[in-house]
Amino acid sequence: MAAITPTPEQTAGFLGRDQDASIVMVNLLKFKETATYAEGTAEFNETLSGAEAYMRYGVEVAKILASIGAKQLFAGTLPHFMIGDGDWDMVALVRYPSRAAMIAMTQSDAYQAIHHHREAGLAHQDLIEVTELFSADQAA
Amino acid sequence: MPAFQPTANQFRAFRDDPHDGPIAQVNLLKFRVKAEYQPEDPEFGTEEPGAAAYQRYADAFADAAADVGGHCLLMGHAERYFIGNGDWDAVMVMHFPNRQAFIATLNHRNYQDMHRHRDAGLLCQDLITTRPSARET
Repeated sequence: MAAITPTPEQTAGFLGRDQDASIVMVNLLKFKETATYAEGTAEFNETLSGAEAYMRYGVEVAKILASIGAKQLFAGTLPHFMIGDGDWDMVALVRYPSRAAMIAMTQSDAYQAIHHHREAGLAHQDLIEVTELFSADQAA
Repeated sequence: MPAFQPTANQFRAFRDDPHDGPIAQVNLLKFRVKAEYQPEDPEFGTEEPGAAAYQRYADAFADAAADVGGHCLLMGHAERYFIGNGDWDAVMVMHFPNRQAFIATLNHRNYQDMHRHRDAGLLCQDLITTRPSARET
């Protein structure tokens, strides 16, 4: 099932795990062909692609991530499947200092103020919770 | 369709892509529950998870990649899906200065010795070639 938000069960599962543990979230992203801003918003009359709308979210969320001590580890664009046959447009990895910090961010006013760009641009995504076995920036 | 290797067309498309800059190879991995080494392998008969066998491959592959300027950005164990649903066990992202370096790693003198660990440990995978954002280059 294509989704852009967690199900209630997925949210409960996330909240049921160690809230103090740092976590890497792997975003597999698929954008809309055309952004779908709501009528009456400033962006409604711009002709933006879904990718362009999501990039507006990306620029703003990067500032919020920095302010809570989260780190974007990686973003990869123009994907080609060398093995397998999925259909993603972008891959992004973000390390949060804790699960609690991620939840707090999504509930913050600053995040709520930019979330419409994500909704306008994103067709669907997978978001995979990953514990690090190795990462280059921590090995360095 | 679960896949294990590139098709001939996928390999050609990768090799012939004119983009000459850095690439990041995003591996979405599904391991065998138990490693399945072949009778001729020294590890045959050992009881261990597929993930342990694959990690031997990942370590050897990263060493070989280092000879041509490649490195592992992240190897992580997939705990669960927070959005969407899939069934991957792990995510591994490898960075290369260009696609020739990735091909050179596959042709590394040690590759023949390491790939039995991949065969033993891996059930299937997606491999997504991406262009990394500037900060990782």
